[in-house]
Amino acid sequence: MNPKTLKKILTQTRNERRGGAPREAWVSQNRDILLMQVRNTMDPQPANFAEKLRHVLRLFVPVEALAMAARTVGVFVLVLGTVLGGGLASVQAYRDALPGEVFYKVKMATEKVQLTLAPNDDYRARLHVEFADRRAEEIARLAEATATNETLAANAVAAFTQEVAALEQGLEALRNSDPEGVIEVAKLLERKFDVYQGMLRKAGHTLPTATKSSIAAAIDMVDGASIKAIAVIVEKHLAGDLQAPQNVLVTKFEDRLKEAEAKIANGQSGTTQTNSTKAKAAIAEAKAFLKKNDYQAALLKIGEIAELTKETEAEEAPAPETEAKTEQAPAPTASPVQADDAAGSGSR
Amino acid sequence: MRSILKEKFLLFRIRAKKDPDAFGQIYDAYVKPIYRFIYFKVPSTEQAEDLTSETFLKAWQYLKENREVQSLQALLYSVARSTVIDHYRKAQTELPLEDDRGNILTDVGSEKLLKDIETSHDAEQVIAKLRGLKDEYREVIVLKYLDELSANEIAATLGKSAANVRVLLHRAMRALADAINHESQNAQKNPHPDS
Repeated sequence: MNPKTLKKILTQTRNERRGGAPREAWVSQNRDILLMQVRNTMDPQPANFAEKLRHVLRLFVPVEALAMAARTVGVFVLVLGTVLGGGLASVQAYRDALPGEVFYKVKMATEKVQLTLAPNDDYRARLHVEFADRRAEEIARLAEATATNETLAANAVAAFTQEVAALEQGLEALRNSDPEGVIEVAKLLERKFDVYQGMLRKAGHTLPTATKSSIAAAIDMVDGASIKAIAVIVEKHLAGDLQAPQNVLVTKFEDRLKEAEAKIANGQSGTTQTNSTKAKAAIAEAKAFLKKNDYQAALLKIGEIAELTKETEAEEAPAPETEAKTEQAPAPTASPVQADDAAGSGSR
Repeated sequence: MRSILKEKFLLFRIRAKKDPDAFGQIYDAYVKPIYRFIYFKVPSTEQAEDLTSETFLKAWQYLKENREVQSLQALLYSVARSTVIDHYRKAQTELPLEDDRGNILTDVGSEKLLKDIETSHDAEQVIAKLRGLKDEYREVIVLKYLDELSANEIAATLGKSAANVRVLLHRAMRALADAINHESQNAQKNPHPDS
């Protein structure tokens, strides 16, 4: 059989079932089933304008090239604006803008554009770190101001917690999209969260009284996010990642335990007597797990301690899920991050 | 499909407008080639149907997660290939099943087939030998002559260069022709006693 005949036969059979054509009835039936499953799993919330814009850019424009072009244009506009609009003072005014000031909206809009143009999850996560830094600094500066409007302070705290939530989401997105790069971001976030908690506590002393509860909630939220970052480090350590060595992990655990002990000793948080006793016991157990190198179990205990020593008003009654978590602690197959999802969420 | 702009627009409808019908259009455009791609890798139509459904569900999950998609066609073939590999991994201990497609001829009802027994026999022989070829030869023949993709499209689908695809296709067709001719020569040398 010559190649020409062969090609002819192959082409002729393409619409026959022996040539791999599917049954029409199956095609149609399978389509209905598939679309039903698609509808059931599709997020019903329509995308907002910023998301739509990001999708358009990602799909139709090479984003890296666009981001570079946008940066170039941005720098040009900034230089032009600086020259025409009053020298370096205008740039400083935009950067230092606080909630309630004219330039603040420009600052926020610029950040949104930067996020929209972020070429990947890693870049986006690092942008959120920068913006969370700015929000924390804004809170600190509002706290230093002699007369701070309650609404402005509350808005600033809300904007900060939004950034923390975005950081948590960004970390989770990176776990899927960049399993090798996520460890660096997790370590960075863990350090940052520690700094944020310090800044928030300090600001809490001087901000209007009405803001104190939202500051306490923000501290707890940061604490939960910090545990999630540690969970990623634990996960990577257990997977043999050299960027998550044992000494780093142990130090992070020990630092957290020391902080918890200090909180209990100083009566710093809204912790009740019952919870303090439980927290002390949980700290002892966490230390025991650390000695046995059982980091998953230690992580669960850290989540439990965070719940017991949270800044917001604690309840006297023990949370039933806390006990359940304690029982699950030694389970060797539990994913640290999944386990932490349960533990961390409780602290918010 | 094959229009990049159209594909991008469908992806936009899925991700930004959350429009499930856009995925329906992707299914309509690709279900036949993807089914055929899988059909030549598994021994039964039921398995080909199940694995094709699984392929589209996995592709949907991928698209839903907003992950990067350079080409829908390449994505679907890639998912189909890994789905078949997973299928064989799971069934590693099982022996290959009997090919149940011998009876397909009887219910196809093709007039041409009924009129021309000789062509039918040739086609049967070609398909049987095609199934016996090694995976990369079979894939490239199916994509070229049954799905009628260009060398560039096959290259994007298989992750090879277009030049590589042309060489591969040439070798694959020669291997198929050799297999068929070899069998014909054997049949002539050793005719069946009943014939």
